[in-house]
Amino acid sequence: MDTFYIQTFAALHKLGMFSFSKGFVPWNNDQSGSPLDVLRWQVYAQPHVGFGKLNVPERLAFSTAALTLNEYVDLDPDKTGISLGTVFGSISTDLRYMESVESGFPSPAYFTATLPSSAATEVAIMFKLKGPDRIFVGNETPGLTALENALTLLKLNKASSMLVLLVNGIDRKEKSSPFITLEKGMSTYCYGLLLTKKRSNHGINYRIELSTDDTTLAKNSQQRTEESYFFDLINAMMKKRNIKLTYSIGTLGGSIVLTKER
Amino acid sequence: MEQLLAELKEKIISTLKLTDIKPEEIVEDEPLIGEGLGLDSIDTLELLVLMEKEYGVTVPDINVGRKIFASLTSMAEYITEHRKK
Amino acid sequence: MNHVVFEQAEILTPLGNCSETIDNLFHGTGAITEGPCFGVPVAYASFGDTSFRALDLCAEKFKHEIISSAFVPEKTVFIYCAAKGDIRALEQKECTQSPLLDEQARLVCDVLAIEPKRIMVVSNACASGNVGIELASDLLQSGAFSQAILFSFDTLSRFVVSGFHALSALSEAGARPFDAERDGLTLGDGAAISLLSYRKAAPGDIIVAGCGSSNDANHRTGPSPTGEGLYRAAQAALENANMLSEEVGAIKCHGTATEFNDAMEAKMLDRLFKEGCPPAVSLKGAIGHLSGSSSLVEAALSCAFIKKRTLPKTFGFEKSGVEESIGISAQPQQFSRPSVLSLSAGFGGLNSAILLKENA
Repeated sequence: MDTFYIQTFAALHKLGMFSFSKGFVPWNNDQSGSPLDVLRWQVYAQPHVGFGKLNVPERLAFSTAALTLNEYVDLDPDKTGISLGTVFGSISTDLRYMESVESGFPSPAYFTATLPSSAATEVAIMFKLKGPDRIFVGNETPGLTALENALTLLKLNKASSMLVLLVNGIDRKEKSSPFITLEKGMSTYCYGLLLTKKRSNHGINYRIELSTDDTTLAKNSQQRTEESYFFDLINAMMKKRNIKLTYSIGTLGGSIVLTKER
Repeated sequence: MEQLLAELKEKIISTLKLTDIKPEEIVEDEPLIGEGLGLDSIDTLELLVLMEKEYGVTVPDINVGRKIFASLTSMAEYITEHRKK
Repeated sequence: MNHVVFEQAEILTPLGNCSETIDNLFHGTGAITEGPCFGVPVAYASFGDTSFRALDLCAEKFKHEIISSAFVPEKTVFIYCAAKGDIRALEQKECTQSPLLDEQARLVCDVLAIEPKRIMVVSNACASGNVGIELASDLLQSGAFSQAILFSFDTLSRFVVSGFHALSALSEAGARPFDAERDGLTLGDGAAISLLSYRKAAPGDIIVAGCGSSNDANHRTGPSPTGEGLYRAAQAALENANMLSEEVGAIKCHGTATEFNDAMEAKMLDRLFKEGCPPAVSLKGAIGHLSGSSSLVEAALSCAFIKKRTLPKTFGFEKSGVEESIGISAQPQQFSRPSVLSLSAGFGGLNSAILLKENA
């Protein structure tokens, strides 16, 4: 049976930033406690002229990718792909772009960011990740779908490592948009996991097993959000613990086991 | 001219959202596109929109645009010559 | 041994459904018409009946085309492949269709009256259809599902037309892929549905023999000038299919008719087919660039080309405008080996290649 490993991880969360390389870093006092306020220097040491241009999901994905890949030296970027789960895709930029169309001056820069995939491709361009990319939008479990897909691509040897990103973020002004369901629109987060099929001397080598199993579907109990499961995974790794999670979201159920290898 | 140059620096930074760059870091006689500011073809198109929207200056095609953006000074000169607002 | 079988497909293009599109392509009838399109002075390729730009009506049209008696909902994954999908709500106050892709996917399942085990939405820009096929193949081979329904939809809108125009990417007179006079792409309406399954293939079945994808890691909109990324995707598809380039019967190019796309594609094809390029075609001078739905539509058409062992002419092509000699022709071309390599390249450097083949 194939084994797969998590080598590094990061998360932008309402409490602050979590990462393997920097531990937990709370938001500054002048930041509102939202990952939307993340600053370039907090995640990436060099100046990056394009940082301010990134839309919300791009900025969250770039920042999380930067934190995830920071100091990880065992990466072959030519064979690293990105599996992105994005809850709202590019809806905020779609609305900004449409405003520019109505003003009579359609913005080329906004238009190129009106794709759910741009959050993944900006990361690919910045970190020169040339492997296969897959972009999954919405449908309750984009992150688990992205994680599952990353494992499949590794299993089929289509990549030597996969960066899994789960991003949820919209502009503050869209919180009242008729297109945004309130519950999902309220939270802003991004999670990143770097997966490999081989052990690495430079990573954390957490074995990951993901399975789907309909019998775990919660019948009447209150269902948790996808984010809460991702947070549990990151939290366990921050505390260097093993974890077995049973998840149940909508029609998708199963388990995730993380085991720290010695 | 000085005033237009200063205004353009502010407008370029805000339009292209160059948060890592300060106005004084834009050298007036260096190319706008490419190495210096790290601007690319999409930025070139965005600058063309800026010229039309703010100054009523329309540029016949992107190749002329590339010449205009040879430097901030040449951009300012072109605007001065063709501006309608 | 089991294969991923391309069981059925139906499409809607500016030239009609699948059989009408094929007839028109081989009779030399294209669909590109003069602008303006949404007030923009560019050529375009529209559905004959523009009411099908509404996702629910389009899905309704496909309802009886594809769901065969062999359909097993509890073992089926439904994959919605789109770059933008139905975004009328962003433009029209009275339209209530959600612009969010996952809600559109659910709507399509409701209209088709299917309840698949899983619904996935894949949005790899203009390569969404091909990446959907690759995703379906991976899922079927991993045993997670036994069938996949792919649905792809992207149509003309003021949003998309004005955006490509703002990028100076659209041709005024119409797309002329690989031609010396090419001056940009032409957008069109497109939709497709297809059913893939995993089983022992019979002789004559079309199978998805291999898939590969990559990222240029180069630029938001422009392709890598060398074609390196698309080359790697095509190479990966060949390796995945366990085939050599000289075993490929024909090529369905991405061929958008922009200066940069066609130049890079010619470079990568020349490099991939060292022994000389097999017959090649771009369909975008006939039906336009159907953005996110283009590659699923073109894959369905490629299956028909394999059956006919003939490619239609490349509409708009007269005199080669690329440096390499790559098998593009102004005439229909016959080929003997029953396989087509179908290429797609999207914004953000997203490349995908699919190798379709008739089972011997």
